[in-house]
Amino acid sequence: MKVIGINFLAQQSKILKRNRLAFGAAMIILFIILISIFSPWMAPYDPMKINYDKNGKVLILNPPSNKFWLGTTLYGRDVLSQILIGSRVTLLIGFFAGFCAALIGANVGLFSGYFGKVTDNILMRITDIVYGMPFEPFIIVMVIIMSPPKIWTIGLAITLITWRTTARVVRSEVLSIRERPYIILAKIRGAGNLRIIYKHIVPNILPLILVYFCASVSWSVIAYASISFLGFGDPNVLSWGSMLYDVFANGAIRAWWWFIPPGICLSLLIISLYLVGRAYEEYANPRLGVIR
Amino acid sequence: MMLEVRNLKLKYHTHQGKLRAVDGISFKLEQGDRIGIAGESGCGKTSLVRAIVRILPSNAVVEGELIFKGRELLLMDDEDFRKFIRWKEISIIPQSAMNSLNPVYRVGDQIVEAILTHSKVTKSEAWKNTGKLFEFVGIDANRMYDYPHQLSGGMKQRVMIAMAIALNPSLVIADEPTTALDVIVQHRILKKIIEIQKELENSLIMISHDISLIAQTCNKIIIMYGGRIMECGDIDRIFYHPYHPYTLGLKNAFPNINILEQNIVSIPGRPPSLIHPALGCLFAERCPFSQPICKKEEVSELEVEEGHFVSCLFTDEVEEFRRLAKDKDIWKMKS
Repeated sequence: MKVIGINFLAQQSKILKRNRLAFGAAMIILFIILISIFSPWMAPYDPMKINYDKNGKVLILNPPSNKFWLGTTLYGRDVLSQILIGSRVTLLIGFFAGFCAALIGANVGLFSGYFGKVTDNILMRITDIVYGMPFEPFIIVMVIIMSPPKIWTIGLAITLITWRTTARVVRSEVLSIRERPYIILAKIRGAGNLRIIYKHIVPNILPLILVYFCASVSWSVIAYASISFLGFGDPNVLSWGSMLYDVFANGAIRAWWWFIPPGICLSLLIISLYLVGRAYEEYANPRLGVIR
Repeated sequence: MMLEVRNLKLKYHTHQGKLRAVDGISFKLEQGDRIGIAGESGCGKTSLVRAIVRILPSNAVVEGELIFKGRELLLMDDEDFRKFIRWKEISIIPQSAMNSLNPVYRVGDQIVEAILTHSKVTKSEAWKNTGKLFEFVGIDANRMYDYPHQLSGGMKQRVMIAMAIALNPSLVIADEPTTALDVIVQHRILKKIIEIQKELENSLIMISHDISLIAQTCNKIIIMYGGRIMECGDIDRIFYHPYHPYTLGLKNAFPNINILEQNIVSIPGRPPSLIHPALGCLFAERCPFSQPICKKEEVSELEVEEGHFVSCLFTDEVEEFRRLAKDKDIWKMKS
C-alpha cells in the first residue's frame, strides 16, 4: 500500500502542473511559507522596536525610503519587518486551523457516510446545528468566552466552525463510494470497518479532502484577519490582520505604505490558496472542465 | 457435508410491503460439488448468495438454516463471521470484475491485504504467494504490480479468481463470473475455474442466467423462479429429462448448436410479483400446462429420481409436456 508515499508527492506536482495558474499560485504559497520560516533572519529591524532619527525623535509615519523600504508606522516601527514577521502567525493560524478543520470534517463525513443510520443522524444533526451559526459572530463569542485571546484559542474557535462544509461534502462522496463493488468486496474479504474507511475509502476521496483543506486554510486566514481587524485578536501577536487593525484604530488611512502591503499579502495568499484548491477540484471532478 | 441450506427465506422490507426474494430454499452441497444456480433476473439468485456471505442491505430479514461444515452461519455474530468465515472459508468471484478492484491500489496489494488479514505470514511471503497465484490463473506474476486500469477485462477477472482462491477456501461462489467478457475469454475463464476447482477439490456455487454456461461448468443445477426452486438435480438428468414446464421453456429459449435454423421460443409474460405473491405455483401464470388447481394448491418438492427434485403437481404428465413443449405455439400467452 505504497500509494501515500513518494507517489503522493509526484501525484501532487502532476495535478498542479496541469494548471499553470495553480502552479504559480503554489509557488507563491511556497514563497510565503519560506518567508515565514526565515523571517527572523530576514527582517531588517525588530518589528516592535521604536525607531528614532539622529535627533532622537520618533520616526512617525515615514514614507518608504532607503532605510525603511516600506516606511514606518505611527509608532516608528518598520513596516517591512512587521510584514515579514506577521506572515508567521497568519500562516500558522491558517494552516493549523485549516488542517484541524479538514481533519475533523473529513472524519465526521467518513463515519457519518460509512456507518449511516443513527451515527449519520447524530453527526449530521450536529453539523446542521453548526451550519446554523453565523461565522464571524460565532468566532468572536468563542474568543471572548475563552479570553484572554491567545493564538491557539482563536485557532480552536475557527476550527470549531470551519469543519462543517468538509463534513457534508465528504459524507456525500462516501455515500457513493461505500456502495462500489470494490468496497463491498473488501468487506467480503474480511476487512474491518476502520480498515475499509481509512485504507479503501480515504485514498479515493483524498483529492476532495485536499480541495476542502485548501478552502479551510483560506477561510481560516480570512477569519483570523477579520478577528484581528475587529480587535479581538491577541494584542501581543503581530499578524497581517492586526496590522490592518492598527492602521484603522489609529486613523492613519493616509499612510498607504502601512496598509497596502499587508492587504496585498493577504489577498495574494487567499487567491493562491483558492487557485490551488481549484486545481484539486478540477482533478477531483473533471466534469468542471479545464480551460487550457 | 460442506453446506446445507434448509428452508432459507429472505425478505426485504420495502415501502410497498415485504418482498420475498428467497422463499424457502433447501439444497445440499458436498465437497467437490459444482452447483449452478440458474434463473432469470430477479429470481433471487444474487440475494441467496448475499445471504450466504452476509452482505445484505439493512432492510433484509433472513430466516432458516445455513449449516456450513457443521456450524450454523446465521447464528454466528458478525465479528466471528468476519474472522473465521469470510474469505478464509467462503470467498466470492464477483459479478463485475471491472469495478471490483480499488483503483488507487496495485492489484497485488489487494490480494496481499487479504492474505495478511487472515494468515500469519510475512509481507514478502504474501507477495511471493500472490505471484504464484497469478501464475496459477495464467497471468505473468509481474502484473501484480500494475494498477487495475492497466489490466484488460479478462485479466481483471483472472485477478479476481486469484484473489478468491488466495486462502484456499472450502467454498467459492462465482456470481456471474463472465458476464462482461467475450465468448472466447469467457470460455478460457470458465475452463480455468473448473481446472482450479478440481485441483483444490473445494466446492463451487456458480450463479448465472445462462444455463448453457452452467451445463458446461457444473455437475448439478438448481433452477430458480420467483425465489423458489423449480427443479434441481444432476446436470445430465435435468438436461435430458427435464420435468418442470419452466425448465422445458428455458431449454427452448437457448439455441442448440446441433439444430440449425431453429426458432428460439421465449417464455411469455413477466416474472411474478414477489411483494404480493400468488397462491400456489408461482409459475402457473406463465405455464402453458397450468390447471386451475395450480393456483390454489401449494406445491412441494417431489423426488422424481434419486437426487432430482421437481416442484410441479403434474410430474406424472411429463411425457405429454415434453412432447407439447416442442411446439412453439403452445408458448403463446393464453388470453
